Amino acid sequence: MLQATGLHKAYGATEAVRGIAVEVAPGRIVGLVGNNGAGKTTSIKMFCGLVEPTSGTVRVLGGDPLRAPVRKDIGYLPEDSPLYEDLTPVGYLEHFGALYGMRRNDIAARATELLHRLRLDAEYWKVPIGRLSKGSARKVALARALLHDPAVVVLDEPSSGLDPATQRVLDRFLLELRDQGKAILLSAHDLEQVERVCDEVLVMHRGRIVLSGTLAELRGRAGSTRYRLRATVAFEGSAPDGPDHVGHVEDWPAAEACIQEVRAADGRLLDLQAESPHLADVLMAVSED
Amino acid sequence: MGGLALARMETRRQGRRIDPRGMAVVLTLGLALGALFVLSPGLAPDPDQGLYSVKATPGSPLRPAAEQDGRFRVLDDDGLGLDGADLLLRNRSVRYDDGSERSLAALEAYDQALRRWLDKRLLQEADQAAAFPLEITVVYESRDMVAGGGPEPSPTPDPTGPAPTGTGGPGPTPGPTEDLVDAVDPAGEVRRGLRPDDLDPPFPIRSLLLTFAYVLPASLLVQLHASDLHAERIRRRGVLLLAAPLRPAQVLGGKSLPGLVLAGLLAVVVTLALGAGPLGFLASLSFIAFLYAGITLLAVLARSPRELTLLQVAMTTLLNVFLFLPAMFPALPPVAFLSPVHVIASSMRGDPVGLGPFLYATLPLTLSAFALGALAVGFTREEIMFSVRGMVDRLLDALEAVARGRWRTFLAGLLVVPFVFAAELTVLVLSAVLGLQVALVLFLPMSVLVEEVAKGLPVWARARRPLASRAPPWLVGVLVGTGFFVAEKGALVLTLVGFRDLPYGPQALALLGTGPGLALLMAPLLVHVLTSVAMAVGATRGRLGAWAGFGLAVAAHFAYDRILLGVAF
Repeated sequence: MLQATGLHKAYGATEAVRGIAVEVAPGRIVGLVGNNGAGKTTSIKMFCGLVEPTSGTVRVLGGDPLRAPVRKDIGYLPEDSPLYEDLTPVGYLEHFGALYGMRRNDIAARATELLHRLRLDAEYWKVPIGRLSKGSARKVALARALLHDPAVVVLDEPSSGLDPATQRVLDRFLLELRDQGKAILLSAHDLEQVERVCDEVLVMHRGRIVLSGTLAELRGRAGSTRYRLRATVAFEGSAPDGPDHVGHVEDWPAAEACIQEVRAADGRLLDLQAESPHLADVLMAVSED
Repeated sequence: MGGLALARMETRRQGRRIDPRGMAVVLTLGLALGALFVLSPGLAPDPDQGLYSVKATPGSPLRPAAEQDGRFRVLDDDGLGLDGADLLLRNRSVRYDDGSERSLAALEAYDQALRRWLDKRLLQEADQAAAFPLEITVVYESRDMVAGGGPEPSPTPDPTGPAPTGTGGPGPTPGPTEDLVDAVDPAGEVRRGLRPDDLDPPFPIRSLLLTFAYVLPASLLVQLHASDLHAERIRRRGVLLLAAPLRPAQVLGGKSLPGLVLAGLLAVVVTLALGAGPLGFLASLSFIAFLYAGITLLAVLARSPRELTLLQVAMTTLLNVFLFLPAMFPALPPVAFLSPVHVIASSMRGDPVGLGPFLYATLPLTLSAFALGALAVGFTREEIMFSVRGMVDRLLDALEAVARGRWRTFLAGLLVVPFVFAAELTVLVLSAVLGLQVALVLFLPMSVLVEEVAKGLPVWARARRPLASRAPPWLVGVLVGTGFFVAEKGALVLTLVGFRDLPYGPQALALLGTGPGLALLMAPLLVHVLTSVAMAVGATRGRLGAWAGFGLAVAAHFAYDRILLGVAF
């Protein structure tokens, strides 16, 4: 549904994106993560037809998003929320619905549905956007991106400015959209959200995609699961922690050996925890390379 | 379709921002004033009302013509001669001061007034066949030149004598070629054949007022439009419009259309109030379009509101100067018609304006408006509009975006020409301060530089395409050079056809029909194509190559001009 191959973008001598390939299939949420300056936003702008690639191709439902009609199938939410402060949320959505060729009645129905689902209180619907809180304004921006029911949704930091409760609402909404068959690309610094909703993650670094795969695959590449043991007696590598002894081992065989050692010393295993690497560890590992 | 939807939404959005009570008051006042002017022509502003003072003896047959023309304040002859008056009508003679430009201009105005008054009287005659016994068809033919360079005087039909040719029948009298009255200078010497058309009025107050009547409302509107458009850029709201299924031209067109329509309607109101007629209205559209396109470009170009204000003021001032200055020389049509305001002034006076002069006055500004608008569309792209890169880089990127494809590359070469003329005119005016000799010496190399830089812009812009999608440099050079040539020589032919009384004009026009004339016309095509190709080839070889190509183009063009001047003089 969204497909990019050999995508390259240079600004003079600066190469912002260096030959990336991305595919977001229908019914999938793909996360795009990376440190600042990794090339995520430039890539997203190329996916949405805002920036022309220096080389390579982008296809949205088979069409080139540089062509205006193709952009009708894309719902784009930029990182900041550029809104018309003098318009009300309803007026703002009417404004953009008309640009996407929607009929007045359809706009009104869809706007009502989206604002309800994003939990923007009805009392704010007819208040100028300039008077809304940052979170409420973000909800309006999100509603605009989804107003025309696009097949491909590209969200840049969607949860920026949202409170935890609304973030959970957004997560559920994204999962629903995925189940409806939308292809969703989610760029976020909120790695917990990426872990909560994404089926697949792409890690960008210095204009390239350096890692890609499911969360489990990425964690596996970042290192194996570590184990933390707490026992009543000392074991190899342990250190006293109050009346107990605590130690870390790098794999399961080493953990089993420690358990045997505790039993042999007539000790008791008080706690055993498996610690999987987080996406943040993956990013840290990438940026340290 | 999308552009219209945007225009509709913009109208609604802007409409919500207007205070309805304030707008109602302004509209009511405007409509009342407009209706007053339209319904009462006498109340319409006429800056020439009572411009000249005329003394006339009460029984003089020449007096009624002055009395019925608003430009004259008629006083009774006090026997003291002119004594501060511009003209003295005594019996059948007109006395004037040939040392006063004001008096000479009054004489010209009186000549026109007298013709109108006589025609009016003749049209009131019951027997029109007696009033207009002849219908004269004037056929222009080439004439032999007499020694001294002036045209040989041709026989002129005497309005009081028998007609040399023609058929009988009623009809208005053709414009006589001699004065109907004897002009007597202060020494008492009778002079015939005076050409008042050669004189300037004392001050072109009408042109000045006209300029402001049209430009001021349009400027106010365009400033509102510019600040709104600029806000789209600095608040980054324009990103969402560019991400919508709209082309850049639709985005810009949709944002601009409501204001442009309103400016057009205002021009209609001003035209009606001034009585400038359809021709005046069409002429006004050329500079309103220019103003709108130019300010739109500045709005997407400026990096801050302060910079936008500065650029807006500079542009509006320059446009006013451009509109006003040429109109100060009504006796020199090729100069006066540089300004569309002169068309409006002529239209108000009822003077006919031919298609040639009309196009001469309006086409450069219209083409410039088109070029500026196209460039603004080129800027309306995310990576150019919101870029923090330097102005030249952004300009070339914008040009590259609009000059893609062969036809557009040709068009880009064509559309730089009005700007070249404006720049060359500025160079000429500025260097003229240093004296004619210095001006002529400076003008040649400066005009070569201006022309090569102008052609270089689309050429360098095209070289910014990625190598794989780049057109061959020779083709880019041929297209840009040909476009430039077509516009440059088109303007020349238009000038020669439109102003047949230019010095050497008819000869030059006749020369174009001959072999050597055609060769002279076509030789610049070769020069423009070759120099453009040199720049295009150089531009593909890095910065040094681009400079080398430009240097070569300038040297070749300069050498050609030198050779041409050597042959001509």
